[in-house]
Amino acid sequence: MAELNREEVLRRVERGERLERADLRELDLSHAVLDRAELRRADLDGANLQGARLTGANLRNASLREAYMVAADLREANLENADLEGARLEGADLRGANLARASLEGANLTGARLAGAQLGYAQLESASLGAADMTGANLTHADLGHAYLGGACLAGAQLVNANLSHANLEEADLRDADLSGADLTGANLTGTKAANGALARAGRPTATGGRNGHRPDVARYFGRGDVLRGATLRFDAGCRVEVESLFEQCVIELGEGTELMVGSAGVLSDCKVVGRGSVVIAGKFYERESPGIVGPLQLVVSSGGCLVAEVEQAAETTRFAFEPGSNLRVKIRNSRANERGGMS
Amino acid sequence: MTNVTRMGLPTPTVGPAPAVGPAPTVGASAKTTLIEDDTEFKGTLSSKCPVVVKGAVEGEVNGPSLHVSPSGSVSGKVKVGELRSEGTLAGEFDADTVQLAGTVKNDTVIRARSLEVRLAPASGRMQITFGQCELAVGDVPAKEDAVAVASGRPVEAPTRDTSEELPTTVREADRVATEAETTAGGPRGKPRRDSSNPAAP
Repeated sequence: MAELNREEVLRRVERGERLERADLRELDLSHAVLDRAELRRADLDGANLQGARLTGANLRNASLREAYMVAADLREANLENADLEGARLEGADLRGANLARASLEGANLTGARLAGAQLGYAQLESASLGAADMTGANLTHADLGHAYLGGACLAGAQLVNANLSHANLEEADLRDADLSGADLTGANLTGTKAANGALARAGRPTATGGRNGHRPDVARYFGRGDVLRGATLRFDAGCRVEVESLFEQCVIELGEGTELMVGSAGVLSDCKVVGRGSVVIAGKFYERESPGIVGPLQLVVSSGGCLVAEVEQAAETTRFAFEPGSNLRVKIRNSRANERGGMS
Repeated sequence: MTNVTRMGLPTPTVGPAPAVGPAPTVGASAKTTLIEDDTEFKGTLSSKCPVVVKGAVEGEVNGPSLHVSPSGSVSGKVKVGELRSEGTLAGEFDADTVQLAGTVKNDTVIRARSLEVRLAPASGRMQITFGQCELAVGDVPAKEDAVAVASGRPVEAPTRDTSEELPTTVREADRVATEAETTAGGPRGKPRRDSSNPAAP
């Protein structure tokens, strides 16, 4: 039971009194005006703060576990190191808020406004951030493992060394996001919008990576320093994909005529490429299991490129090119479809 | 037309070979070992002159260079400094530099320091058709090193994946074979590169 009731809280805040370490558990503070309130280390577990105004409030180290904060106004609030595990923050306005090292595990931030928010080292594991606006947010070292970020806007966000493993980034906007060192193991990047920065750069903002739809001009760019591990990536027919990152244990499925370019800094380790695309290797490709490359219409290894793989040719035989200076340990085999009538 | 096999005789020219780059113009005084069209040669052919095959050769070929013309085929074991082929290859080929077009048949192994295969135009005829074959070309960096570099981790000492490494030049293969015979006192074992001298020759 809370030590203060709603009226007392409002009165104290109005007077500018501090509510540090106050026990406000399960208190109904919905639509309350608590701008700039001093609530450091306050216990607000299970409190109802729906639509409350908390702009500039100090909630540092506060406990807000499973608090109901739907549509709350938390602009510029200090929530550093706050415990918001399981909190409901749908549609909350957290622009410019400080959520550094906050625990938001399993929190619901669907549609929340987090532009410019500080979320460095925040625990957002399994959090729901669908359609959230995180433009320019600082998510350096944040843990977003298994988080749902479908349709979220992360344009210009700092995701350096963030954990995005198994996160769902479907249709998320990553333009100009910095994902240097981010862990994208098993992440769903279907339809992520392109970025000019470290991870992705797309020709069209409406690009999707799904199987359906023919988007001949779509481009994907995976930049230096990014690591993609254990992912399965499917690219539509006609797509152009450039990899300057490290891909480990990934399967890349290419649509008809899709161009996969492994740039000079790109390394595909223990990977497999399948499909009737065009593969250009200027970096390094090491297969996981044979054949590592299946059915390409065209395979080119540039000077300085390295290919260690068995290549199963396309049914109509693959067009090969190897530049002087390429490094190869390649076994070429006929298409399984043609093996009966293969060359002898 | 009279088909001839000229060995070590002057040959005026060797025809152009657009798929594998311009053929060297052989001067009137240059000597070439030539296996002409519709000529079959079986056995071991060792030459100090460039070897040009327009017919068919089955067996072993050793020489400074081998040019297999579009009508030519070579099947067997070949050790040359330079290999250019627009014809048909089958067997085991060791060369410093290789330019390939034409056809590479099943169960063929090509080892080289440098390989060039030009890309055919998408709508045009295939420059090269590969059967089931193996290509061992250049030096392949160890996967662990490549991953370390790509992930920004320091690479402690330069290493190379030598587990499947094959000699990539004729001279190197010969040297390895000699070493193997010297150390084993017997026939040539599986060749391994001497990692202390990776740039040899």
